[in-house]
Amino acid sequence: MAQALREFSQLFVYSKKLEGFSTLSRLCFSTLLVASSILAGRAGDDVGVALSSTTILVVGLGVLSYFKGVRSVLRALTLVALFISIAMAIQWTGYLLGWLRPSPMSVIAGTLWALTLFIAFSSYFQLLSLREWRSILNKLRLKTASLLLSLVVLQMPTTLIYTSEAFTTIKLKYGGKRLYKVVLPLVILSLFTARSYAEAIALYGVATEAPLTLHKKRDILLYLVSTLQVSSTLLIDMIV
Amino acid sequence: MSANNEVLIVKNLYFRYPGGDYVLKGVELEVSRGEHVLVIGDTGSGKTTLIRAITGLGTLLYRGEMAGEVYIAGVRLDQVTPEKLQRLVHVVGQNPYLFFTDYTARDELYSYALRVYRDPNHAKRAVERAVETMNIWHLLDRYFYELSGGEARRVAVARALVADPVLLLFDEPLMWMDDHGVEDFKHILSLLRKLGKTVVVFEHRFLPILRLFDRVYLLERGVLVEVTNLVRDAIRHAHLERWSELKATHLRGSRVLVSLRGVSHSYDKPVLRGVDLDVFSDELIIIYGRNGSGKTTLLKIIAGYLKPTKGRVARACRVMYVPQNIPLFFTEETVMKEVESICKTWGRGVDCIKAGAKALQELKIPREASPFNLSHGQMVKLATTLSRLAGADLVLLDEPFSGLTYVDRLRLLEHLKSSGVAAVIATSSSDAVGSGIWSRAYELDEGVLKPLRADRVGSIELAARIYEEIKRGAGA
Repeated sequence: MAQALREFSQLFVYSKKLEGFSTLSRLCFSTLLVASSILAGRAGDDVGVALSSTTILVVGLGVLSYFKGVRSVLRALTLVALFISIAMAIQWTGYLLGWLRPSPMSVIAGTLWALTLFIAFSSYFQLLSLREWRSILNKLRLKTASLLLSLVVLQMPTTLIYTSEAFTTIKLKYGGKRLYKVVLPLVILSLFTARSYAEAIALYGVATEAPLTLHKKRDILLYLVSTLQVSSTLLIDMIV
Repeated sequence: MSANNEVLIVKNLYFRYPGGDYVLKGVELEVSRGEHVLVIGDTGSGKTTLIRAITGLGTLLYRGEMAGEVYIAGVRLDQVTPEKLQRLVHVVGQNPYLFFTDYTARDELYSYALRVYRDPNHAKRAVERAVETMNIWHLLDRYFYELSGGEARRVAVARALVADPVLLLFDEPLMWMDDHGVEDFKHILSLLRKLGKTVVVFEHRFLPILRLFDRVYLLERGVLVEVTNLVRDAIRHAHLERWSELKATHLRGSRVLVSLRGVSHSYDKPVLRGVDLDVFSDELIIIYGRNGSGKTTLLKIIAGYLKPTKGRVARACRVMYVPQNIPLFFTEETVMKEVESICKTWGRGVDCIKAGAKALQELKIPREASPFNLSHGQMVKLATTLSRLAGADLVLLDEPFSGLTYVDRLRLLEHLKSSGVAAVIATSSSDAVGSGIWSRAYELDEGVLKPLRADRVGSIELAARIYEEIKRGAGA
């Protein structure tokens, strides 16, 4: 579990390989990925949703794998896959027992769409560095939001590791019952961590904003992939 | 005053948090240029508060009330701007991971240098100098959470050197450090001495680093007392030739609680290889191993939370696990609610609650106290008490010594010995863990569990005696 959580947290970490592309092209790519994912949910029937979602997933995962390596992206998805499998198992059981109405195709389409949305939103943090986010938010005069975002995203890997540790402890303490009680110690520990960050920031400030770049030579590749992906989503939407 | 050699002057310093009693009560301290000073003291004695007061964080962030004077390099604290302050003093906190505001060491150091110098070329040179000094070229592109504790500490010191401050403060730098991390920190201190840096270290696990300081102070009940000579005398009296002491004499019960046979476990690579272990009732077992040696994995396999990839585990008792981050064990707002909750969950009735209330009295913990506000030692004792109330026969404690003074370590062992519960303790430090209280002692090395050699460990009893003699001598 700890390993899966650690790998899951990689989904929110930026890769240095991205610096060959401008901030604008990466922001556009992520935004178009999110917009397409939202559109995919409205792509007619279940087959349409499944097809659109699969197309976006292939493009999204392909681009992320190019930057971060196939293995690390697939490993990071272990936990997501686990939760989706559990959800699917529950839905299938409900379907077989006649408790739930959705057809098997709806379950598959819903699952793929949820995964697509997750990948699309996480791409904002995988393709843009925290410093770039701080710059963007500061330019929008959202200084407090920029600071909060840094605190939240930086705490994510450690908080996920704490979560795994808390589950082990509470499961044994209460004999597998009352697992919801992990919430209070996790909140308290996050407050302790936030206090330490606050001390560091009060003394030494946050990292300097990054320069935001508008164009770089290789941007054309990202724009091309984005165009192909949006076109295919729209095409599927029209056909189905 | 600026012409003087004193880098830090603290005069009659009083400090209290809003609504609280004074934590610092007339602290006096003078540290000269290039001097290395060690401040020891119990957990909760005010070491971290003194750092907050010296850096102005106490009033700036915590809105505390401060009286007295603090001068850093001749500049009065209340007359210095935050920008100037970071060029004068740098704090390296307890947890070196919590100063990163970017993912990689390279980004962190460069952006900090840019903030300090506001000129890219100057910033680049400052980073290169700091990286070269700390020899961390190989760490620059790694994500901060992939660094070991010792490596993260090296990056934290490099960041401190970027601004070239006149004074460096270390808050409990040995916290969570294994023996390699301690050696690494000793090397850092030697390096800082060569650079002529003025250093003040606040640490309760002081014996491994003691020889590297010019003066030692004890912070007790808000007052700072110089104990340099007392420390030297206490160490002389303690006959350090008997330092290595590991006589496993504590008797064990006859009932086998957990039995491991040929247990192996792997993640990306093998962590445990063919571990055989029987844990008997009433016994106290210590497992020593470096950070990442597989101690936590072994504890989780004993607890039944992890299934080994190979081998057999037979369990004949209820097991509790107390994590290194001990606040994760507690789930209620008050300690009495903790007692009620655990008794109710395990169906142990009113007698259990009464026994719990009595145990709290014996531990001198008020019923309405929040478990999260207790000292580290009290938290560990409360966790073992709750485990006993739940009917557990075995408690697994992961690094319980990391936040404890030597005296508290000894008290915890005595508490465990009298608790009637068997315990397996995992630790990564060998400097004060040896004791006659253990039933058995092991070392986990490269996945193999083997008996711990007596000459590898220092005695808790001896360390506690040295600390108590220092405190007695200081009139604390």
